[in-house]
Amino acid sequence: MLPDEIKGAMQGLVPSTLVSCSLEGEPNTTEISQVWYVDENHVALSHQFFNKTHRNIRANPFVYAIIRDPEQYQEWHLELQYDHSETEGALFDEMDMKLEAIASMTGMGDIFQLRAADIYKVLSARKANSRNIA
Amino acid sequence: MLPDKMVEFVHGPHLLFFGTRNAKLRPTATWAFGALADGGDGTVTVFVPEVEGAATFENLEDNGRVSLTVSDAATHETYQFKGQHSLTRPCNEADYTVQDIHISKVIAHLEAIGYSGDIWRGFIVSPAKAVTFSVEDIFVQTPGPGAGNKIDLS
Repeated sequence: MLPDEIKGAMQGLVPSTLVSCSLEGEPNTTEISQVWYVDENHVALSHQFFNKTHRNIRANPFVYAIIRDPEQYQEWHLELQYDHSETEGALFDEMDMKLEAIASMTGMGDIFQLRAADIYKVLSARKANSRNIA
Repeated sequence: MLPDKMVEFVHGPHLLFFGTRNAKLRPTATWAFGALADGGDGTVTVFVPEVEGAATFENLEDNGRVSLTVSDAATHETYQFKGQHSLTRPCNEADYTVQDIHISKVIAHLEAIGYSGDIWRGFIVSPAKAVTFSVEDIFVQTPGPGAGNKIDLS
């Protein structure tokens, strides 16, 4: 489902936008540091804080993400369904290392901490029409 | 009522991300470019480009629950406004002027930290709709120990 060309928007160089929704119907919009390519049907999102997003996805697993290519800022819209979290292993270690680099670049070294790699199934993925790109 | 600091922050050179959800509690997201906060009325009006706004506008008609994140990409200071939609209308000339000013401020603010102005000039921002909502809660979303705290609106 995920085309190869989307991988450029999964480098973590530009924050992504994530919207979740509680069972009471309250949308929650936030920025996240990493949307990581796992395979053509799955992505991993960095879970850094115990927050509203974290509570929402355990009650309602459907989220919406916008990710961005840092070169041309081409955006992609993803509909995702939370599957499970990983707190150790190769994927977690890779994301942890990348998050440390992002934190260092953005002055967030004492703040950003990877608690888990949250794995989501990709329900849909499409290139956005939001930009004039030649 | 909105605190003066929040009104000023909405009018600042900050990035605006607008979240809504449909009847099945499936969320969606889109950009907003430019906003007007009315501290006395406790409302915020954001300008949402139509090019990627269709699902958002449908959700506003369906249930009207909204979430607006206002973020300073230079400092990471971020607040999330939550509330209930009250009005959607086509943007007028005055709205597009506010939108132009907002984009100019974002470019000036973020070029200083290495973001090319072409990023923001490249977005298709018109036609757009002006979406007004009543603010019920504002939460601190700046990464750090205060994240999640509610701002006092009394």
